[in-house]
Amino acid sequence: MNKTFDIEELSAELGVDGHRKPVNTTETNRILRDFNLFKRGESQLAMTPVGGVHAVKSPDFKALEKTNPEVAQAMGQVGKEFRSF
Amino acid sequence: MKLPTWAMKNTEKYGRRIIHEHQMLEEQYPLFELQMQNQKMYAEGVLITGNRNIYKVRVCYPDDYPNSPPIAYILDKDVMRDSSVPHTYGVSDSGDGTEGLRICVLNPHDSVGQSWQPNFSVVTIIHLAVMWLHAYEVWKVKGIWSLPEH
Repeated sequence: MNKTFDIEELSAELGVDGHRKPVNTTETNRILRDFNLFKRGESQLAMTPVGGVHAVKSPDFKALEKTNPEVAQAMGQVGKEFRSF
Repeated sequence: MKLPTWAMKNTEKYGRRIIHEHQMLEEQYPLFELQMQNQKMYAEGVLITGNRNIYKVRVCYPDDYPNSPPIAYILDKDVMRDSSVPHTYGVSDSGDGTEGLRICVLNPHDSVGQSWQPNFSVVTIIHLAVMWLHAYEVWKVKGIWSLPEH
């Protein structure tokens, strides 16, 4: 997305500040599944540019370590803390 | 060129760091922008969860950055109004009189070098805010917190 992105239009479309979309059960279960995969060390978590999160397999994460080592390091650190509880 | 207070300790070194963090922000979270008011720097933008809900988020650089991590706030009133939301430090001034719900994304008992490292950036905290928001939406449905307990 570029700088001409119309956040006001998107806010009106999606609903914001008290006018939330109902939290979807399928999506809730998907988040829990992805968080648990991450916690067990079976995947890493990747964030999308707008703020989504999903599990990615370890080989994909190894590619990230090569292309963007700082992000990979930060995510690895988050993972360590996540798995320590 | 005015720099934030924390960058005045070493304008060359931290000036370059700001440029680097700005580039990372543009690449990874294009709906965020770096802003500054009264020598306080923050990144502000929106995050959209998998449920297609949109949240306004501000991440403030502390004066002793990068030794201390940036602080994340949710600026939406409906989230702020709900006093039962777990893993927060409550509503407070986010730097310029704007109130926000300060969220807990790192273990407050950790010292520097544990969960926060000075070579991390504001982008790290936005990653954690993304996770916090998804955990928040799960908590609203299931009543459980799916991230580490701090």
